[in-house]
Amino acid sequence: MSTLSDISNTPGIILGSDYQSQLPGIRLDSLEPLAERRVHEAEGHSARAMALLLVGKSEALSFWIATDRKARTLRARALNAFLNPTHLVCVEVANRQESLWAAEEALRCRGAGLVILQVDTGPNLFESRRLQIAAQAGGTTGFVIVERRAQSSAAQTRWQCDALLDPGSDAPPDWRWSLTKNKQGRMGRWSVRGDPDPMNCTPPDLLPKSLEPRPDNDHFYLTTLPCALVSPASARPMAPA
Amino acid sequence: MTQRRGSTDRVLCINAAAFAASVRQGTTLTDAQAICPDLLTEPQDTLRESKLLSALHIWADKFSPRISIDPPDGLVLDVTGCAHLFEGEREMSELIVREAEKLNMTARIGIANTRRAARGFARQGESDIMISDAEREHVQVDALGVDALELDKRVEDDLRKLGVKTIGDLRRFKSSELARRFSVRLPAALDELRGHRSDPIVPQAAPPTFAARMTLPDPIARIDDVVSILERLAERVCRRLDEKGYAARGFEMTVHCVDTGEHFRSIGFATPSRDVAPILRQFQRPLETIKLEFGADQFRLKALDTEVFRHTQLKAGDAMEAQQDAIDQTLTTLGNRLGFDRLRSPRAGSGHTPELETDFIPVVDQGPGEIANDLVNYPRPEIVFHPEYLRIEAPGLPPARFTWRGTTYDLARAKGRERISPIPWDDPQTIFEAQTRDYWRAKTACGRLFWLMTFAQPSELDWFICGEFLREPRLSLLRA
Repeated sequence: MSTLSDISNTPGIILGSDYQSQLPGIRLDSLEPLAERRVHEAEGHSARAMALLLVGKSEALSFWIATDRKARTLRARALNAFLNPTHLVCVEVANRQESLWAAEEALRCRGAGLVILQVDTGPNLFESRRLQIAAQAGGTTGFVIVERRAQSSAAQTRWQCDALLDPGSDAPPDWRWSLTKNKQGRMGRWSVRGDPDPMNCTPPDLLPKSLEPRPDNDHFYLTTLPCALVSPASARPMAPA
Repeated sequence: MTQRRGSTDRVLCINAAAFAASVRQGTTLTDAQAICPDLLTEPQDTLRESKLLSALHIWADKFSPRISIDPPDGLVLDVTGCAHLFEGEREMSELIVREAEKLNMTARIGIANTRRAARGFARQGESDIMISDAEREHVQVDALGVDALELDKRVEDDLRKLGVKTIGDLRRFKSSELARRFSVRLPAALDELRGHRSDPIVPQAAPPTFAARMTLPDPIARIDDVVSILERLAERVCRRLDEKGYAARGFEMTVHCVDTGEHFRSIGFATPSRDVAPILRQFQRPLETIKLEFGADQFRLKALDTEVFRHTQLKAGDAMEAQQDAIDQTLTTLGNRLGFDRLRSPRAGSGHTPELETDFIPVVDQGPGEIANDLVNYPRPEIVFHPEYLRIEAPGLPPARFTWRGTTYDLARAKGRERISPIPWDDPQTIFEAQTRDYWRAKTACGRLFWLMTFAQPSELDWFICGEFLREPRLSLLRA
């Protein structure tokens, strides 16, 4: 688990903790927001958790495009903590070509919330540029979950999402999310905890910008511990925690 | 006509020529071919037969306004007050038989005071037309076989074993005895047959068909021309839908090529539609898959799944409406290309096992039905997949080190076991569902939280991974 003291040890220009990106997009607590009309990429095991949180946040019909069985792995009972299941459409596709086509088609849909594309190999420059154009045309946000290998792409941001082995504290963070590529804005690393109970979370001094619980009885509550803020000048992939 | 029953093909239906060659119903196909080597047979196609029956339903509308379908091969007409228009029941029946002959069909007609009696006369009568006498009807009914009661095959067999072959034989028994020996259905059916109890026919209006066809003097081979023909057909169909206040969830286009015969292409819609433009847009791709080498000359467009079009109030201004339209259009496009059954949404299911815990219901045309599932009190993972075998590197409960998909994981700690028993009344789909299973939550050293499974018997020999928690389940998620 990272602490605030990590900041001083991090190379690069350090931005103030009151820094807030002004980009419009889907915002998860104090995390760098995911700019709208753009396609983002995420690698790592907790990328799906991030996708689910984003769907819950966008509160509009979202598409989850995956091949065959993978489209049927989500379980409603556990999802309820993240999102309203009526907002999620799981699209089952046969192969990579079909999934890219379906993602493009869904991204063009005006009124869709988030379009999640789960692929083994990340889209390449050409494919991701096409997705990007589709997202601009439809005004939607794309989120590509790369399960194996990412390629160099036109994605707006790329996240490395890892699981965390908690050290046994009372309210340990669940995930470590690092922003390893950002075309516009800051880089950073966050320890994130998704908490079902807002009254039972980490001490308040570590949570400068915690969210108010959502009014619509959604009991999911996200707290983040901002730890390392790095300027884009020193942009480089970070080693997974 | 043959029908496959179990592993043998049997003769289901024969024509007069086959009867003359002593082929009988119920003989096996091989026997029939041995008896008559020139026998021409065709397997039964129930779908086409039911389509033919509904076509006859529309055709029979000229004899009576009240008609119901009696599957698999009958129509029930309520001719009360209709017969005199054809100068009597006998003349009307003869007219129907003559008209049916024009369609290459043999009709058998029974007319009686009750529905079941008429049906029995038509199916069992000595002649093609059998009309009951008002005075002698009970005698004629008594001569009918017990299958006129339209009961289960089992009940009919039981009756035959008792020596009851005709309806008249049943007079020997009290109806209370019959009810006790068989079921109350038997005396009730008997009453309906004799007219002591009302058994009205439930007329079904034939569903309106919305279709348009076009035949060209010369075949056309350019896809653009086909599209323009589709546009004209779609305009006609949509105008008719509009006039009647209907909309359709699907359309089927038939293109008759001069060389390769008929091609069917169909599309579906997320919401009922009667606009020309979406039809053209959705048909663009399917039509391109037809090879028009020598051209096509006949076209037909038919609306499928029509329903009454409900005008809905605009919800919150045009922006909201446009958004919903865009979503419907995307669902339609995805559904037509991938299949509508591939667009699904996870909902809480009705069972307690991992397999039944979640239903994936189609997004398009989904009902409101959401079953509240209160059967599972334990935290369940977000991701559940078909169990995959683990290679055990170091033993333990659960294994201290295991390999899955090429990666070796060390166990940090584990919580368990949650024992799940198979559902006794369900047929298991896989070997996993048939056995009692133990589930463990296993946290690995890298922080991933897996859902491991093993069989309770024989205990803990094989381990499987069947899911992953995206985060540590919170205690507060447990229901008190």
